[in-house]
Amino acid sequence: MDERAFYALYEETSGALRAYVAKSLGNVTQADDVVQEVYLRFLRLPSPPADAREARPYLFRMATNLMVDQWRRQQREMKAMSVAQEHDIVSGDPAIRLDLGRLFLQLKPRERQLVWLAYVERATHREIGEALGLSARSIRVLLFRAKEKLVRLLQESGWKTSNE
Amino acid sequence: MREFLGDNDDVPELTAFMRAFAAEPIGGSPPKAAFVWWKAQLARRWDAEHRAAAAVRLDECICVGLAALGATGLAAWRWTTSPGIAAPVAGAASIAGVLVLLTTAVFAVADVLPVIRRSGGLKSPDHQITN
Repeated sequence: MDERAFYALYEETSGALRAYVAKSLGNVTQADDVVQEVYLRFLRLPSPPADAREARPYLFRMATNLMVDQWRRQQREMKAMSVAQEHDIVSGDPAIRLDLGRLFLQLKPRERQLVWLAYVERATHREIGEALGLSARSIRVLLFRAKEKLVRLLQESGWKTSNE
Repeated sequence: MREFLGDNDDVPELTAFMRAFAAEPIGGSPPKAAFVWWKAQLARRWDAEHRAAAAVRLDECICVGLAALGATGLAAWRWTTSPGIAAPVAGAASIAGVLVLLTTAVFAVADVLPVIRRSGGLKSPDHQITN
């Protein structure tokens, strides 16, 4: 892949990827690090696809894996620091302090990825499965549970009534 | 990834929430494409240099190791075949020489092991591939 092709690909994909990572992590600074690492790893592939449609699944899968690594690292640090709630740490970023972000961060990390990919990226169960390393059947079940949980959280927070 | 998935729109409030959440600005500015490209080129060059240097270093270590082994063997052979070696001064000198050679051999082995480990010959337990 040459420089010009990379710029075009970056232009086309980085916005959606950054939004996915930032909203799932709840931390823009970490998200930018993850996004940068994703593209560095992508460019290290033997022959990275220059077409955005082909590259997207690679990029989202890499980002998903890096986020999982990040959460695991945070969990280890939290255990060491004896901090109880994960979202207390991730919501500390001043860039994401809005109510919607807080609501979303109450989901488990994997649930956030599932819901984002399904609702914002409009990915099929198979595509989500590829990104998360799970089967389409598992995605159907996990997504159903994540949706139920988010709806419950929305109802508890009165989000619907405040927006009507 | 943009394929429409009908059953994701089955809960209107959820769809509305996700639409609103996705529309919220993230803030900050993403890394520049030129910077990412430059970093990737730097990493690629560093990888190439590292691979080339590792091969040269491995060769050097093997040479030092072989020389140390040869010298140790030669000293051992001299020890057993020379009649005058039993004399006190010559004996002390030979022992000192053998000690120097053995020390060199130990250093050479210590030098070679990390290179072999890095090149994948002996994987360390914490070695992980995430992608």
